[in-house]
This record gives sequence, C-alpha cells and structure tokens, in this order.
Amino acid sequence: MLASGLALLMAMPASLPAANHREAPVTALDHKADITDFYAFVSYGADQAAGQTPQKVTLILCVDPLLEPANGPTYFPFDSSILYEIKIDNNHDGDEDVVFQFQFNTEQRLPGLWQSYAGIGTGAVAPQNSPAPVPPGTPIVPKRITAFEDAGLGLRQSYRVTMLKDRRATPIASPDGKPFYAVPANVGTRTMDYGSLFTAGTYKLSNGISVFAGTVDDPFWIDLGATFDTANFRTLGSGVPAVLTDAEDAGKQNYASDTVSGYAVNAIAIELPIEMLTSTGRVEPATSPEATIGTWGTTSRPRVTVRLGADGIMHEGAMRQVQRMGNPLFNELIIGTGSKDRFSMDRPRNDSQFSSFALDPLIARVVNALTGGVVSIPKTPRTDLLPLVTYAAPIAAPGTPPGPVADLLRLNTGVPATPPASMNRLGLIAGDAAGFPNGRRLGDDVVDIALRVVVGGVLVQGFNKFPNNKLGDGVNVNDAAYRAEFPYLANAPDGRDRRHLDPGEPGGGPVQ
Amino acid sequence: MTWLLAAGPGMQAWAQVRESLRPSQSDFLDLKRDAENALSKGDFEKALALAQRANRRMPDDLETYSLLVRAYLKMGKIDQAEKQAQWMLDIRTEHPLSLLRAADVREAIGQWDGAIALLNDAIGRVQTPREKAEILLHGASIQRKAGRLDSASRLTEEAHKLVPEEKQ
Repeated sequence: MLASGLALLMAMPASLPAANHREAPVTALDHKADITDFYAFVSYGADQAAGQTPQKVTLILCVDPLLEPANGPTYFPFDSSILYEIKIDNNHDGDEDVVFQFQFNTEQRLPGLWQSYAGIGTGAVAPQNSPAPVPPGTPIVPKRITAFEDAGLGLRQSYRVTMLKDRRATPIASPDGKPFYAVPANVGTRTMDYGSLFTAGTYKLSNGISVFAGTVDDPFWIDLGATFDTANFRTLGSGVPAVLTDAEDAGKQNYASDTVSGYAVNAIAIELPIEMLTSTGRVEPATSPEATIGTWGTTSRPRVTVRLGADGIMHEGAMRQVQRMGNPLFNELIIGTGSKDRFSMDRPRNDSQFSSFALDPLIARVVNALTGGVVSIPKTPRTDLLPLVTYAAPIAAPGTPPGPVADLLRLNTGVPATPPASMNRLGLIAGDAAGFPNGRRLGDDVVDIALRVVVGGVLVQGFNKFPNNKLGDGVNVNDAAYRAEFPYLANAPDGRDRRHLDPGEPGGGPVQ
Repeated sequence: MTWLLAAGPGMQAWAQVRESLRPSQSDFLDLKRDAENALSKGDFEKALALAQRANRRMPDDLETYSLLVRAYLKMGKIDQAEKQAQWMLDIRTEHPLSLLRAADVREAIGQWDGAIALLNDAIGRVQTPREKAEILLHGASIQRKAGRLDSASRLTEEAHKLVPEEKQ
C-alpha cells in the first residue's frame, strides 16, 4: 500500500527539486563535522628567543573526535561534503574579514582491497605454491607506503585551500600546481612510514604560507571521564577533589588519566604571515588596537533550502553551519544543552543571546555546591569573564573597541611567542603572555585555566587564593610530544601499538 | 557593555539560567500543549506567544519551531514562517517534522511540486500508518490546489487504505 502511495506522490512533472541532496542531519550526531578544538598562536621555533618580533600566526582546526587508531578498515578520511573554514575578525565587529576554506577530494585507488591502506617492505608477491590463476611472482601486496604516490595508499585525499578577503576568493596553491595531500591515519609500521608522510604532507609555500591536513595525535588532554561524571574529579595530594598541591601544579606530568591519550583526531593547520591577517596589513605592536584579532573555526554542509529557485531547484552553493568553535570548552561547559545547537549554528556576533550562561556560569555553582563551599565563587554578573567574549584587556590593547559579545579566540598578534622552554601550561594567568586566553597554544592547559578562571574566579579581587588558584583535573601534559615547528602537532598513534592510559595503571593516575 | 545591556542585571541573568535548568519539564510541555490548543482553536496570536516562550526556554526544541511555523503561516506571516522552517531544516535536515513544515511553507507560496517532494521525503521517515496517511492526505490537498484532481483522489484513497477505520 505504501509503495503505491509513494508512487502516486511521485507522479509529478519532471522538474522535481533534488530534495535528497543532503547529508548527516543532526549537529550533535554529526561526528565528522564535530569540532574538537581550535588553536591560534604566534608561531615559534625550537630556538625561539624571548621578545622576538612576531612574524607569523598558526591556526589549527581539529575535527572528528576520539578516533581509535586501530579502527580500520577505512579509518578516518576528511568528509568531502564538509566545508571546513578558519575565520578571522580583524576589525572587532565579530564578523569574519578573512576566511580560509578547506575542501577535500577523495580517491579510492584500490577499490578491490578490503582496507584503505596496505604495504610491506619492498612488497610481497605470490609464492611458488600460489594456486591458479595467479602465477608465482605476481605482485600481491604493495611496498610499504612512504609517499603519497605509492600504490598502497588506497584511500588518498587531496585538498584545496581558498582565501576569502575583500570579497575576492584567492586559491592558495603550491607553485608547481601539485595538489596538497592529507596525511592518512597511522595504520602501523609494517604498512606505512607515517613520519615520512607527515613530513611530505607539510607544505611550506614560497609566499610564507604553510598548510597541513591529516590524522594526528589528538593534541588535547583532559580527564574527560571525571569532568562529565558531574565534575567527579579525582582526589590527589591535597585530599580535596580537583585541587592540586603545589608540586602537582608545577609538575610536567600527569596525576590523573588523560582520557584522550592514544586517540587521534583530524587536523587542519595553516601558518600565515601576520600581514595577511591584520586590518592594516602590517605587523602591529602589542600596544596597537589593530594587533588583536578574533579567530574561530566552522564546519558546514550543503543546505536544503525551504524556498526553491525560479527554476524549481535548490539554490546551489548554500551551506548550513554545523558547528563553530572559538574559545575552548565554551559550548561544552557554559552553554546549556537546550541551546547547544543554536549556539553551534549561529554567528559569533549574535552571542549576546547566550550572555546569561556566561554571566552566571553554572559550572561554577556546580563546583561550589559539590565542594560544600570549600571552593567559593565570585558574585554575579561575572564581568571578569569579559576578556573571553569581548576585545578587552589584558589581551587587547587599551583603545581597542570591545565589539559585540562574541565567542572568538582572541589573539594579540603583537605579543612575542614565548620560547618553548619557558612556556607555562597555565598561560596568561601564570604570566605567560603568549598563552591562553591570549590565543591558544597546543600546550595550554585550558581545562585547569578554565577551572581557575571560570569556576575559581581568580581574576576577581580576593579569589586568587587557595584552593581556587590550584583547581585542576590532574592532567597537565599531552601524552605525545608536540613538534617545535609548524604544524606543531604530534604523530598520530600507531594503530597496531596504540595505548590508552587508563585510571589505575602506571601513568594513568588513581581510580578514585 | 553590550552584553550587560542585553542580559540585564546579574539576578535577571541568574533567573534565566535557573529557569532553563529547572528539573521539571512539565511547564515547558504545558507551554507547547497550550500553544497546540490555541492553534486548534484559531487563537494564533496566543499560540505564537506561547510557542515563543517555549522557544526561549529551549532554543533547540524542534517541536517548538514547528509550532512557530504553523502559527506564522496561519497569521499570514510567510517570511517569518520561512525563517523558522529554514532553521528546522538546518538543525535537523532529515527529520520528518522539518520536512513537513518546509512543505507547508512551499505550499503557502505556491510551490506545489516542491511541497510534494518534501512530503515524499517525509513519508519514508515516519513510522505509523496514521502518520503516513496524514501525509498522503496533505499531498492530496496540494494536488487539488495544483489542479491534479486524479492524483488527489488516488492519494486520498491510499490514505484511507492505511487507516480504513477512519474512512468517512
């Protein structure tokens, strides 16, 4: 009966709109478009000296969370139907002025193989006892993958980068016209030399721009399980959950489980001369209002439009934003679940509608309640959080227009990068001027910073004291070492030998 | 500061947060039920006001947007209806409710075939014979408006086969 009914409904003129041209529907369930983290910082090198005038900025957008490195056979390609964008507001109005778009193309080069990648040594051939019709000596397994041209790279992704600025779209391409390739998942050492692919997939162009895309170690670290078990942080040396001792606070090691350890993520990175990002087209000193930019990342998918075009088909090129991210943990820990989709899909300049969440962050009241008042919290409204959502000191220079409330990751591009050896995981609140919330580096411990600033209120007079200034989840460092140059990201965990550090095991911290 | 002006004093902000976090959802459900009742009684202004209150309580609730679209359409406010229907498609593209409300808007602006296409998509995404029958009857109504009376009759017949006990 139903089939008959459908057939009747479909008995229409031939100019039907393409109503089935749509992708995954639900923001919260759209794993591929899920932004995990966004980073923006003044680029640095291993030999970085203190006080060097900034030259470039690195922007990194991570998507597709908690990728289990062993999870073949097709692993984790970027989604060719998603438009990945990194956006910059340089005139403090909360709207994008410069945009970098990334779009991927997928090739299936070994469609008969059951998995996306295969390789071993110099290759494997059919042995003498190979049954007919395959004669001995016939190539069976390709050689180990060391380059993007190798036959064993069955699933190969290339990508295009486009800059939108002043209403013009400018392709960012390699001078030789060769495509940019995305670095695949690290399947294992038999199959591939992931490190060689990572190096080959880091494109340093003659115009000072560098680009990278690929599956890498998830650069984030957090006791995720404890965080979302209603802030059930572990009890460490202080005897108070979520409160660190001085030694734990200073330790460059983990005292609790990094739930993200051993997982991969898909990352897009671009390094740009600062002149391309500021409104003046110059490198501005930190004291200049024009030095501070707002940055964020978005993912978008093709949109189904309610209204059809005059020709009876959908408007081509229309996109719907699936997610955005500026400040870390803002959507996760500040925005209520009944508003998360609205937040994810709206524009930053409209964020005043979410002000109530930021003016009185519930996470602070939760920790205040769970600790029986041991962790006291500031009075509302929390104007101390303004630097996270407006252009304000100490990130922006005096005289910078505050602009609208907008969840942007603000970066004063005039603040010199901190030499790696001197970087402090607690960033700006620990006196490291180049750290979060002045931008965000991979090594910034945004969980502990957020706990201290948002919950503990350490920026409020009288609250920068114990235990508020020792709040932390006990996870202080990433499980893999970052690179000291672009794209700074660490190698993806090896799928065959990956390891997740769980509570109760060495390096995983206590269960309680 | 812009955001302070937008949010009002701190206690007002806390009141908003507290309201949005109230454990019981009964008042939220009451708002939606009352809006539905107002719609059925033809009190579209009241229905809209109730739906808007529900929307402020939970901005991600799809059913509330559906109420907004229906109220705006009844009031002849096509542009507002389209805006809300587009948001429904954006947040839940393949949800039948999104498809049905978008079809309503297309119908309201005379895009008959476009509306039928969305109904066609929606019918494969609903579960019960009653839901399918309702969509078929909606399709029949649109086919009649489009002057395709034979198609309208066949769709009506198919709908009655799905729920024969309700055939008049």
